[in-house]
Amino acid sequence: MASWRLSPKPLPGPDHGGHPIVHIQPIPRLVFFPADRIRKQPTSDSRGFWLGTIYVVAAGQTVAHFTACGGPEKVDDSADRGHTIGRTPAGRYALGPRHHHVTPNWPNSSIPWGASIRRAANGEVEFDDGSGWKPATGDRAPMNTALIRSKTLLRQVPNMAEIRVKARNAFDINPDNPTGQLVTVWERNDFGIWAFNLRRGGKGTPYYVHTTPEDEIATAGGREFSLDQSHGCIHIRPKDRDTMMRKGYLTAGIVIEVNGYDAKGPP
Amino acid sequence: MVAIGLSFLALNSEAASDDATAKPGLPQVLTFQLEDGGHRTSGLALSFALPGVIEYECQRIAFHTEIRNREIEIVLLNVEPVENLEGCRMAKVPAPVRERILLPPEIGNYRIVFARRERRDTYALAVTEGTVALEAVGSPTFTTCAETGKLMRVGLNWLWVDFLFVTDDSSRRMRTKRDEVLSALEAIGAKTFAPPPGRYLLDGFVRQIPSGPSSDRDAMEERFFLWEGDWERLRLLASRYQKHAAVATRRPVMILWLSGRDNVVSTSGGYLHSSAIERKRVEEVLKSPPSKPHSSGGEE
Repeated sequence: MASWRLSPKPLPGPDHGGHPIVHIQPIPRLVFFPADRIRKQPTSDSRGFWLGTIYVVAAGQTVAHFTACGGPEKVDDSADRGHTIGRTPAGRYALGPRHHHVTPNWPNSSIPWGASIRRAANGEVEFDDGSGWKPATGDRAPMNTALIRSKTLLRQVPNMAEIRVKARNAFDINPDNPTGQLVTVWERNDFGIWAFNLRRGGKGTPYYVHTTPEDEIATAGGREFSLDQSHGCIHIRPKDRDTMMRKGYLTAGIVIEVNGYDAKGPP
Repeated sequence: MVAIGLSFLALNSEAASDDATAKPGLPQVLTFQLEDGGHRTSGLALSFALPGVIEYECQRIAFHTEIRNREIEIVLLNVEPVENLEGCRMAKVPAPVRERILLPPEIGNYRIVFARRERRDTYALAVTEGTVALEAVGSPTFTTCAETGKLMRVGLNWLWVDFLFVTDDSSRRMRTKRDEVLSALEAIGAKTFAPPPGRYLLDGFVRQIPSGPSSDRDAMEERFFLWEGDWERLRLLASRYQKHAAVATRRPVMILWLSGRDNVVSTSGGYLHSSAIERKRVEEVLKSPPSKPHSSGGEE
């Protein structure tokens, strides 16, 4: 059933001069088919790779569609990294507000996307997300906390001296082979620039619509890329994210229906 | 890159990994691509990666190369864990590791051979100043190239400017800003230019010039210039329009890319990105003596 909202802006045009305008627009809903396209056929020793589609439906019509990628069709226990990997659960959700996602579950996501980075006088790293400079590294700072948590998830005993070094190195322009020079802006958050939670029953879930830092970098560099399978979230392209935001499809409260992996679009 | 001495061990472990219950070994089909520009390469490069992030998460292809005269042989050995395995496992979606082989800078004809145990796929590569052509010799058995055929090459001093407005409404409302950018470019010495139409190899993908209507119906525009100046000036110019790239429902949007063969400056996502400047900084750091370990402040 179609929902409607009052448009805050009148339509431009010759018919509207001098008259009060009430413009009614249908509220879109998003319908996600996680596996309505196959990129790679499954074989006896490797699984398939499915691409999905998010359809935008307004007033009963499909008005737009965007490529998206959910979790893998089969749960992979062998890829255990302390996090679950599997299908994006079917169901009806409402989008949460857009936000720079922060979580201690993934070290690179402990700092919000776009935060300014600097080294403090004591050698630790600080970040500013617009609300002032705060410690990024150091005991009980977000990066250290997330690294300790990740080590624990990997069933390893954290070595605190090693954690301190790794935390600082995480902000180096080359974290794998540290140079001592820090990045100035944090663009490594695993959820990309913006994330939108899939909320159910008024509560948040562990699932988000988001991009990946790799895809953000490729887009910023004007390079083409292929979407990759998520661990259960819904990956979209940064350019599509911008389009969907501009057109109001990624707005808090918008309904998103996630279909099963045997369903094919369009709705 | 990869130790040749590991090949015997790797081949044996590949045999073991052919067991259907084991983790995947080398993929059934390896897709590779030619690249021109970017990656600090002086000429063409060839790259390949394991497909499917989750299936091959935190793994890479072990290989070695042999170059004889104008034949480049790439011997694929196996998959192996990435160097920084722990760091990789702490990333939510680790980027696949793309292996890259620099091809000789001289123009001419080459043979590229992929070898995997007893199988060999051969390709003929013809490189000129302005074109590159790749064709399979015979029928490949386990490899495929993302783009074969003849492709044109982008000039070193080409600068193309992409505007993305997202919607037609934005496009109309940002017309003045777009014209401002174009005038500013000319004011700092960029000269308008019309490249010959064709399919160009750029980085690792093919770009059609001029690009036809956007397949996803986004409002986009492209313009071409010749640029001999410093990319820092382009970065400063782009920074003035960064605020217009932040996407909101009602505000018009103009996202800007200033791209050359090797460099790009963009305002994607509302942030200023500059591979040219960052690359220069990285090079400066790499040239400088190794830095001391970070000051620990007495905590370690």
